[in-house]
Amino acid sequence: MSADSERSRRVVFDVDLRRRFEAFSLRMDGARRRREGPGRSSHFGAGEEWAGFRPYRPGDDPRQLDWNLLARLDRPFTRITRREVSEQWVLLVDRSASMGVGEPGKLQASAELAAALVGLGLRRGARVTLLASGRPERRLSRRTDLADGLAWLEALTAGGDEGFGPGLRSEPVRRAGRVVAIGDLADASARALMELSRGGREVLLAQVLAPHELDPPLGPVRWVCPETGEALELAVDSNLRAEYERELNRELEGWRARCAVHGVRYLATSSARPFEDVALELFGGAP
Amino acid sequence: MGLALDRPGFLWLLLVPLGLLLVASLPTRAPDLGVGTLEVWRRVAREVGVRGERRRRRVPLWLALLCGGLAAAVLGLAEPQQARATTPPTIDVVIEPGPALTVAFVGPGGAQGGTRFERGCAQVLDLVGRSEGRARLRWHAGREVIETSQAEPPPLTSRALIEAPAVDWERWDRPGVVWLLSAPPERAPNAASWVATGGAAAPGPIDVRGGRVAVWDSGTVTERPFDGAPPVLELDPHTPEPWRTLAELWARARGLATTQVPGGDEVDVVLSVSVVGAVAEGPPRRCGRDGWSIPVVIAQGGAVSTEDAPWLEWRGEVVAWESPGRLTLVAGPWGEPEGDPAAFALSVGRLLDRLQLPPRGTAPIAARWSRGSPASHRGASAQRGSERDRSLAHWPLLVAAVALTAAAAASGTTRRRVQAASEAASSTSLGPTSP
Repeated sequence: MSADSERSRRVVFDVDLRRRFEAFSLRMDGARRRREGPGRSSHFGAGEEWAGFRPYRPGDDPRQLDWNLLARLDRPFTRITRREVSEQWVLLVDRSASMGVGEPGKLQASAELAAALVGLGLRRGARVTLLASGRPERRLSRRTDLADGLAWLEALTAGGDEGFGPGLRSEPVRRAGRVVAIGDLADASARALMELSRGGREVLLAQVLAPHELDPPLGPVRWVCPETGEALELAVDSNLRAEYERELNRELEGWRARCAVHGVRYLATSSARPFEDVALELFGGAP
Repeated sequence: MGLALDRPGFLWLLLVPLGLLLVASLPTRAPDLGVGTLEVWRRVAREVGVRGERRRRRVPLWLALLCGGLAAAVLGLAEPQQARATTPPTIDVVIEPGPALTVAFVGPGGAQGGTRFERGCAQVLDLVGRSEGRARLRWHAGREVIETSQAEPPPLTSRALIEAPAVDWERWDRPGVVWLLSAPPERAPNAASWVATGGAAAPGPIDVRGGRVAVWDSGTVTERPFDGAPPVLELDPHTPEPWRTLAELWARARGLATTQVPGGDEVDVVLSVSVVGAVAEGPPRRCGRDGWSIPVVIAQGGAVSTEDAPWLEWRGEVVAWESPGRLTLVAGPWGEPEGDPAAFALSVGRLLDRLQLPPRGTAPIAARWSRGSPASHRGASAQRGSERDRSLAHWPLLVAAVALTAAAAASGTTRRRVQAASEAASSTSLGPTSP
């Protein structure tokens, strides 16, 4: 196996990446605070916690109006709430062998996205559980646990053929209010993933593909499946590539349609995209 | 006609395009690329009908064009020429007719060395050797054409030079032609080269008449007894009247013997009268010149072909031809001349005087006069024709330019196609779905 593919199988968070994780979570949290004044938060959770009052502004949810204060002061006030500290997030990371391909590797891109969400979740006071097949789960609840979470992610290596594995049916997943599954969805069970959305649980699905999977190069290529070791050598010309793109589109459209039916947010992305862009797009701009 | 290369060392550069093609066409192991699942590719291969296999790499069009262009450029650098350019050119040497070249060459000190013609041949060989390199020579003496290599003079007799008819020098004014003259030409040629033998006055016999030989020396003519056979007028047995009588009278007056039998080499024939065609029937035609006319029957449709110059004709039909040493007549029958008989006799006598060759070993005084100093002029080279063949070297360069341009265009097309395909592929990546 070449040095490049060996690198693709591992996760490395350098100093610059760690700074970006911190900056991203700070920026997103600040944006949420500014946004959550008017209207209702878009986030699901086990409950909401009272945080204070502010004068009523047109557009506020009338249900948040404090009728006692209105009667007492004859002025409308809106209740300000924040998420309960007991909010539970679960981040599922696919670390099967097929995630160890691409430049940058799909596992690296998935781990970066997961790290950004860990930082964000801990900053919001959520309890975050990291899950990957073949690895013991890691529960994080304090902001200071971020380093533990990054270390856990950095220790991931691509291997095996389990995908999300039994983590989909684990106890933390059953109790979580938000589940984010990150992987290439190769041979993943769509049914098991869609079932996660039962019971009002928020499910987000990020399908990470290598650049050469989205845009295969022309010329002879020996396509290798790292999980099975099977290979298929093809001379990729423009016709073959166009046909591949059609077939891939069908595949991705299938995921998109299934997710739309089950209320799952879905994003197919390239491992070459910055995690900030992916996170924002996955959450519709408001993580 | 083959190809010759001026700089064959450049051919080593052909290894560059050959190497490129070789490397490009080597069967290579395709690079490995990991993929999440092979299912998509398998379905694609099934739909397109492609079997996954290792195959020989196809040389792309732009690379083939590039290599072709490089090969053509290398050929151009090697400067190909048609082999014709390396074969020696042929030089036409046109020799001045008449006896002037047949006399002895007299140098400035009075020394003699061969004839003016031999001297002129050496000058020609020297001039051609300097200007043309290796060359073949085609010597023209009247109707006689002799081809030789550059090192040897032509085996031409003095008689061939004397009998040669007048030369149309303008026709021979072109590259690759050398005029061999006794004196510089009155009008210099535009393209032809010329050689003038020059030479001081050459004393010697000028005529043989009545058993005596006239010798010219230092401006005086002396006569000595001549013990050789007299010069001869050769008459065709079918010579018609009044030509026969007139020719015999003229020969007697000039001291010539007359014969009707062709003689051997020992006979010094200075003029021959010959007859062509058969006696014809029909109305006589009146031909005339110099104030006289003579009726003659001309054979219908029986045009006589001869290369000699016309002397007497009727409406374009020639009945008498002239050339040095020869008068040719149609068979006739001829009638009696009309008009002034003396005018006819004088005209014919002058003609025969003009046509008579100098007796063997003699040359007229005019031919023996001084011709001055030797001179020569080099005109346009005969190589010019083969220089055009060097333009062959430009063709590979032109082909190279076209091929390289096409290669660049083909490469650009491929790049645009790849770019378009990439853009199409990137447009397929899906955005997020929201519940």
